[in-house]
Amino acid sequence: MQLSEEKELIKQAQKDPEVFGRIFDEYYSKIFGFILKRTGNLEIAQDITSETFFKALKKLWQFQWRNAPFSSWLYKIAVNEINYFFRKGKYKTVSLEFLQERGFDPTASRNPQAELIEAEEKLKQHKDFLICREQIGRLGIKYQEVVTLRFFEKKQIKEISEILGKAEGTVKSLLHRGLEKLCDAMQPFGENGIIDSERSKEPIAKETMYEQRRSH
Amino acid sequence: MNKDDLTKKLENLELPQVELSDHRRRLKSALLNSMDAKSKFKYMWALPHIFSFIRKVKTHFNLSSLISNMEEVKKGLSRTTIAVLAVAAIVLVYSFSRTKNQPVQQAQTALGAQLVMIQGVVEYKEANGEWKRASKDLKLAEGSSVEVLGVGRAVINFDDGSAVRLNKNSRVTLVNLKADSMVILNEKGQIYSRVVKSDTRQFLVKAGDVSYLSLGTAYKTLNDDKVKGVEVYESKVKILGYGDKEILVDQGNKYYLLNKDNKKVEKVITKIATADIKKDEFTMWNKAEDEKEEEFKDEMGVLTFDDKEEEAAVVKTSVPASGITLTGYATKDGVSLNWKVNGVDVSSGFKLVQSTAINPVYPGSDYVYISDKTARSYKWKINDGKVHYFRVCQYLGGKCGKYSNNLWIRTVVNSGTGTTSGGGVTSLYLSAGGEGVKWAVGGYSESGFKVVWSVISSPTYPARPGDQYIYLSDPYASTVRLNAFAGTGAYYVRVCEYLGGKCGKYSNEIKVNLVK
Repeated sequence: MQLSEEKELIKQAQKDPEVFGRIFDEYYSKIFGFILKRTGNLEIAQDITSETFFKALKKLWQFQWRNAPFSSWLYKIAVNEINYFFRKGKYKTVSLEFLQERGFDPTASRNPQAELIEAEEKLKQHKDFLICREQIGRLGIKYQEVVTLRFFEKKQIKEISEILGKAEGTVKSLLHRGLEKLCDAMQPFGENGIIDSERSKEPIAKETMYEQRRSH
Repeated sequence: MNKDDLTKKLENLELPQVELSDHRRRLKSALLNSMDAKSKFKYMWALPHIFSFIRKVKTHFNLSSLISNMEEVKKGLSRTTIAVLAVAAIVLVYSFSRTKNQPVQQAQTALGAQLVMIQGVVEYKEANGEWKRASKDLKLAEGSSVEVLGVGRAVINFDDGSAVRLNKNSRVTLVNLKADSMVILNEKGQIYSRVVKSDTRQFLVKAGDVSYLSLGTAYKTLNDDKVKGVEVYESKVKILGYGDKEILVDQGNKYYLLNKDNKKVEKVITKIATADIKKDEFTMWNKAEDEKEEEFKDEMGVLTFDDKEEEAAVVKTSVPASGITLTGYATKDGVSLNWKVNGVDVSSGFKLVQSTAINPVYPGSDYVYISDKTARSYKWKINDGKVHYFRVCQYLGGKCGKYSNNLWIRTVVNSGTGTTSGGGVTSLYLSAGGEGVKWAVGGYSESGFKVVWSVISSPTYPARPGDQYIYLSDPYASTVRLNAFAGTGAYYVRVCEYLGGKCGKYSNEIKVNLVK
């Protein structure tokens, strides 16, 4: 979508919520994909995506153009929601409750498992990605943010700095240090992704604990 | 691996493209439907501009206070004050004139309409809009359409007290909602119109090429492939646009322009038999709805008849000599049903069917499936104080064979707490089936079901630690496959009526073996 076209769409959506449907169509895949790559869990990704768009709809009237694409604003909300999830461990979604009262359930489907199973199978096929994601997930959140935005979302430093509200220099520095840490973490994995069992037993970062909690 | 290799690896990493189309579709619909307070939203866009204006004014005052020369301050203040006051005055006058004029204009132009009841899947669309899932209390504007998809019902109330009720598989469009002329398009299915009497307003239902005009009455219009026409229950209806003549149909009569089932009752005014009304579940439901309304209960026309006399006769006359015989009685916990089988093959089990109209059938009426061929009793939890007709039939897989007699029972109103679910489900029976579980529901669960399972007994929703659940939004869902999320072994399973964020009625619990 052209920037001028996007501006016009946002302007319309700020006056008429029905137009928000078009914004949703435009950005759902990107935002869901980003959240999934960060969390690595389909159910959590659905929850956080729902929360992100709900907040975007609620706050749309506050949005103002600041020489950054609209998607940066959505990414910013998504980043905040993911961080909130990591911080709290247990994700309390106010808007989800609101939406659920209106008949929406994030895990619902006419064939509830088929789509999720298919999506999980698809994820499993990307072995290299899963190894990288797991190791990135062991970094501190500030490193996870920049590394995933840079390499999974292919964002430029300028846009990352807009999304995270950090100076470009800070983003570069975080990226540099994040990659160094990731290098160390990736040492047990050869080119073909074989795991060194001893290294993989290292303690995991606090923020990845949710994965264990969910498995119980 | 060094940093450059890692960067290269990350840059060339093949990323998964996963999309959950169902989640996307439902989330979009929920988001758009969540904007109930559309009018509030409508003006929020102006808030940033107002805030920015206030900030500018505040900044100006702060700067002014720093100016030592009082004369300049006075000048500055007076200029600012005049500017601010002028803008404020314009805004106030504009807003006042809008708020003052709007209601008057609306009162003169359009009556309000609201979807006050929905049952089953009901969709709506605004003029030139897209179809969306409708929710209760939805306000409908002129040009809006409402459709009941499949089994279900919907009621639209108008500001003047009139109501339009839609039967299953029916669609209407609110063409005109003027205070002196209301036009409803019955696009398909059956519409019951209960019109408040008025000397100054015409109420017109259009169906196909003809229009049905009333000034205050109760009537049903039919517009499907087999039957097109009108049945008048109270007062009179004039059929317009059918050739050159106008046909006046008095209460207690019907006029079918098309009747594929019975050509004798086509294009001729025919009396409506009370027995036919009683067989018509939709009309009987409308009768009950009208009787609840103070304004309509004394204007029931041919719908004024006593159920009891006819019901007593049903019991006396419809007990079959052989086959399946059903007996039962009402208790405070529901209806206790017992049946005897004589010479009928019931190896596939039974269907128990019930309705507020005589002769409930499967498929079509509310039912419970009992797979156990040796079962001879069932307790149906219905406590609404109304008369219900029950039958039990020989199940032949997808349809019924022999039916029992009709049994009518007036159920007992249960005023106690804890026994009713708060939803529309009276019973849920869960059993293992195929590669998962299946259930039979008595009643109707508008928001679908949650199936909960766990290695610990009595799984619930919201889930306890260790419980797993699946949500099925389809009110007609009856089966699901389960995964062995905690490894191969025995799992306890229940299904419950979903009431949005919580469960209503739960089924029995069963134990199934799941393989990882």
